[in-house]
Amino acid sequence: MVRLLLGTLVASAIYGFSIGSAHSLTYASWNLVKFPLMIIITGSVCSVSYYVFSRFVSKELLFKDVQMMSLRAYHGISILLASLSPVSFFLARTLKQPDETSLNEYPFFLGLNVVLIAISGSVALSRQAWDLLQRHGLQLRRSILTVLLWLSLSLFVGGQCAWYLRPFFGISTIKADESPFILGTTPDFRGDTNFYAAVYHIVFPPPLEADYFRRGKPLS
Amino acid sequence: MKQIPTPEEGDQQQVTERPLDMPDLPDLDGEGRIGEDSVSPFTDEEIRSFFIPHKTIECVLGNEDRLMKTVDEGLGLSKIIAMLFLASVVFAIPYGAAPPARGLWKIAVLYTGSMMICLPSLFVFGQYLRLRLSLAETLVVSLLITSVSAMFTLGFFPIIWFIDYTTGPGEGDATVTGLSFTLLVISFVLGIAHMIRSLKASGRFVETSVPATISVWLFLLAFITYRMASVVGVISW
Repeated sequence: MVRLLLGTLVASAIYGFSIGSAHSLTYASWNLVKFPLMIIITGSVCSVSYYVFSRFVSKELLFKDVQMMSLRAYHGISILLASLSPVSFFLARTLKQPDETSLNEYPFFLGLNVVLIAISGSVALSRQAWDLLQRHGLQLRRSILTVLLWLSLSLFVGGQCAWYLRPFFGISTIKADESPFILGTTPDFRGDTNFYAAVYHIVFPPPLEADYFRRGKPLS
Repeated sequence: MKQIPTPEEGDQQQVTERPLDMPDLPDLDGEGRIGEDSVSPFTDEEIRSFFIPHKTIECVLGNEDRLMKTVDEGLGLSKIIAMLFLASVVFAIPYGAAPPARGLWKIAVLYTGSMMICLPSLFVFGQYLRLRLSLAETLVVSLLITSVSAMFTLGFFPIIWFIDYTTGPGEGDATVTGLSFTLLVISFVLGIAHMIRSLKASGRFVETSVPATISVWLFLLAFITYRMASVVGVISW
């Protein structure tokens, strides 16, 4: 269990470093702590829910089983992301940075990393579903349902956790020394103060304010 | 393995030596109903252990077939009712303590209070329509909803606390309240789903009058719970 935990922390730190390097070495260094922190917080906050949902779907899984399986899932995601970190690092160092006229390739880089995380998450969770089938003898339908419920919970909590711990990527128009370690509840460039409002405004975008490129800094 | 006792032999007798979490319980048939002969009721020792929190969760979630068999045979009914009632109240406290509810008692009153208001109607209508559920059995069936809902709120409590802690004030408060309400609705719906699943496991959901009566009663319970949410201040539009 300790090895799994250590592996998760190291692998997620590597990936965190690669995405932070899109901005600066400062951001990359911060992500060595912040990305593993995000994984640990999300797993801890969801742990009881994982168990209650598992019991709801199937009687075979005990609390310890569920915690080990969720740790294995996070370990899997971290390892897969770490393997993609060279790709992310290369793109981070070559993307066209935002300026005062446009966000340029920043949204693409952001979106691509969301896709990479989604792919890694899906692969790791598919393997967990397979493990549920093989090790615990769950029916296919129940295995898939359990894993889908875990995925939904993780996205629900992980999204907000990532929001609170942001910036992971950082916009180059804001210098590293102007940005805090975490932005917490500071409104983003659209004025949103939480992950769910931000997602809503991605689907239904409001008009941007004139000084949007300066936002993402703490209020003075 | 010892013999399964008749109901007259009371709830003191050991029924089986099988542990609670033994995985090779009887296979589900196509509709998820358990064959009656293959399910054994809980032993008295097991029922006593249900007052330990994680054992309560293991008893109610995932062992509904054995729980309903125990209720059917009238074994340890008072202890089961006490356990379900305690679970309904105690597991709901953390979510009530967390924002935006900010009241230890609020979620317990929301679920258990609403159910207690609606309980007489289920019992009386059940008797009138010959559902053959005694008052104790009706109470168990109703408490299954509230206890399972409370268990889910226990799981959701760290989540809603975390979201509230990490969300900015102002418009963010409305988002947290909305999310909290959504999680409470999810808990409630899953509680109802588990109650129906338990009734199916016991074979009581086969008679046509049972689903109809329960459905109408659930509609009433949902309405009263919604009203209770406004009264205790869990939601405010």
